[in-house]
Amino acid sequence: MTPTDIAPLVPAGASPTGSPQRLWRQLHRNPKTLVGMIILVPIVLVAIFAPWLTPYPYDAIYVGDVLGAPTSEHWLGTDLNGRDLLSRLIIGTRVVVGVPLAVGLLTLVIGVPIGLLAGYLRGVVDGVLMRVVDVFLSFPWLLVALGLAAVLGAGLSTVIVTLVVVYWPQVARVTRNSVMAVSESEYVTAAAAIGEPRSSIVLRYVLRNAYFPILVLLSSMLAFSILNEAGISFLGFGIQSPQTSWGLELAAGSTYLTAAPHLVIFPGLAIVLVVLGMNMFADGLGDLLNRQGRER
Amino acid sequence: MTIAVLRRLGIGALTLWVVSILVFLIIHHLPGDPISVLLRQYATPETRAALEAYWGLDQPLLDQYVAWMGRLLQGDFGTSITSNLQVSDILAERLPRTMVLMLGGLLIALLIAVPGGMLAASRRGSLADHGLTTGSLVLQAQPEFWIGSLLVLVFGVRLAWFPTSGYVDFADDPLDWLAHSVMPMVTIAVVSAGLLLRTVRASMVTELQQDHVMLARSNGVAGWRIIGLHAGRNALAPTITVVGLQVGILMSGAVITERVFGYPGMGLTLVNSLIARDYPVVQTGILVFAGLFILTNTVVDIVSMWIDPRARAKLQGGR
Repeated sequence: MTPTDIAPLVPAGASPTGSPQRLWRQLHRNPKTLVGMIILVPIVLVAIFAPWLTPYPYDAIYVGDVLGAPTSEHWLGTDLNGRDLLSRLIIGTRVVVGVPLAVGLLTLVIGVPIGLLAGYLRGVVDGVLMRVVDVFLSFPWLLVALGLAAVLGAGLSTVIVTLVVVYWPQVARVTRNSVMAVSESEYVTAAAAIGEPRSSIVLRYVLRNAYFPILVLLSSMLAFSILNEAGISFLGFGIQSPQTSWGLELAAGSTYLTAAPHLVIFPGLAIVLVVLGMNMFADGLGDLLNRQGRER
Repeated sequence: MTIAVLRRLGIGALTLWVVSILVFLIIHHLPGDPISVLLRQYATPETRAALEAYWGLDQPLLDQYVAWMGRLLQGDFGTSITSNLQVSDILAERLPRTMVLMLGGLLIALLIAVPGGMLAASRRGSLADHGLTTGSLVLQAQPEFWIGSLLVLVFGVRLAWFPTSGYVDFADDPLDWLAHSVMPMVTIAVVSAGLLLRTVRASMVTELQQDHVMLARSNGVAGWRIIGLHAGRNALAPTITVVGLQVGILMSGAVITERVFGYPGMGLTLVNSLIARDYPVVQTGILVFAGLFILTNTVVDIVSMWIDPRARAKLQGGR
C-alpha cells in the first residue's frame, strides 16, 4: 500500500442517481466543492491562455534584474537568471493542470478496465489482479520516481509515468470495490435474469452506477499528483530548466533563500493554493458520496 | 488468528520478492551500464570483457539474479562506485538517521492529530470542528520543501533559533542533535498531521454513534471517559492502519526534507547517488526503503488484526 493510498478511505458503491444537472446543482451548493471550483476554474483558464497572459516571455533574460525583489515592472520579482517570475509561474500553470490531466486520463484507461474485470468476474481473475495491485501499491511514490528517473532520465515523461504507475492500482481497486457493490443490487440481478449479455450489463448498469467513488478518488489523486510533480521537480528529476514548473522554481529559489525569499514564497503559495482548492473539491465530493450512501 | 497472521506474512514476503525482481530488472536496463560509468573513456574491449567476467555480467540473467540475491542475503550489498565504501557501511550509518527523522515526524503528527481529531469529533458541527477540519486540509496542501524552506527562513535565518542545515551525532552532543533535528521533523510531520487528523475524526464520529457508546452515555459515564475509552479504543484500529499507509508519505517526505536541510540520512544519499549514477547505492537504497515499507505495513496489519477482530475477519475472507 502506498503513501498516497487514499483508496481505502473512499466508500464503495452508491453513486448519486439522476441527471448531470442534479450533480451540478449539488456541486455548487456544497460550500467545499464551491470554494474548490472558485480556486480551480481561474487556474485552468490561466493555463489555457497562458502565452497571452504573461507580461514578459517566460524565458527572456533581463540583465541587471538578477534576483530582483518585486517591483512595479516585475510584480513577483525576477529569478537567478533575471527572468520574470510572474511570467514563469503563469507558464507553469500548464504543468500544474496538464500533468494531473494526463495522469488522470491514463490511470482511468488502465485502472477502470482492470477493476471492472476483477469486480465483475470475481474468483481467480479477481484474486490474481488484486495481488498485482497489492504489489504495485507497495512502492512509496518517491521510490518509483527515483527508480524511473534512473532508467528514463529526468523529465516530464518520467513524472507522468511515475504517477501513472503509482495511481492506477488505486483506481483499479476502487473500481473493483464499487463494481462489486453495484453488481449485488437488484437491477443487475434482474438484468442478468432476463438474459441481457454480460458486456451490456457491465456498460449499461454497472459502470454507470459505480462511477462516483472513482470520481472522488480521482479528485484527491489529482491534488496529490500536483504535490508529487512539484516534489519530483524540486529534487531535480522532473521538469528541467529552461522549461518551468512551480516545484522547479521553488528549488532554484531555495538556494538564494536569504537573498531572494520571494523566489520561494510565491511559487510555494501558488502550489498550496491549487492543492488546497483541489483538496476542498475532493472533500466536498466525498461528503456528497457519503450522504448518498446513507440515503440508500 | 494464526492462519491470518501467516497469510499476511506470506503476502508480505511475496511482495518483497516481486519488488526485488523489479529492482534487479530496472538496474539491468539502465542507460549506460555500470562498466561504461566506471571506465568512462578508458573502456577497451579487453577491460570491458574482464570486468564483465569479474562481475558475472556475462552470465545468464537468471544466474545473475540468484547470485545477487545470495550476496544480499549474506549482507553484501556491493561497493559504492563514487566513494568506494561498502554499501552496507553507508546503510548502517545513514538509515538509522532517516528512521529517527521519520519516527520524530510521526510522533509530532500524532500529537497534533489525535487530540485534534478527538476534539473535532466530540464537538461535531461546531466552530472548533470546522476550524480543525479546514486546518487539516490546509496542512495537507503543504509541500515539504516549501514548509522546510519557510522554517529555515523564519526560525533559521530571521530568529536564528535553529541551525539551517547539517547534522550532529546524538552521541557527540544531544542538545545540538536536537537543534538540528527539530525543523526537519516538523517539516515531515505537517502533511501527515493533516491526513491523520481527518482519519481520527472520521473514525471517532463513527464510533460515537455506536450503541455501546450511547449506552455508556445514558448510564452517565463522564464525557472524557467515553471519548478516551469507549469510543477511542475502537477508533484506534483504523488510525493504526492509516499510520501504516503514512509510512510511505513519511518516507518520501524524509527524502525531500533531508535534501532541504542537507541532513545526511539515507534519503539524501539516495538522491545524490542517483545524480552521480552510483547504482550499487541506488539499487540497495530503493530495495531497503521498499523492504522497510512492506515490513511496516505487514506489522501494522497484524497489529490491527490483534486490536480489532473485524479486520481479522476481513483478511481471512480476502479483501
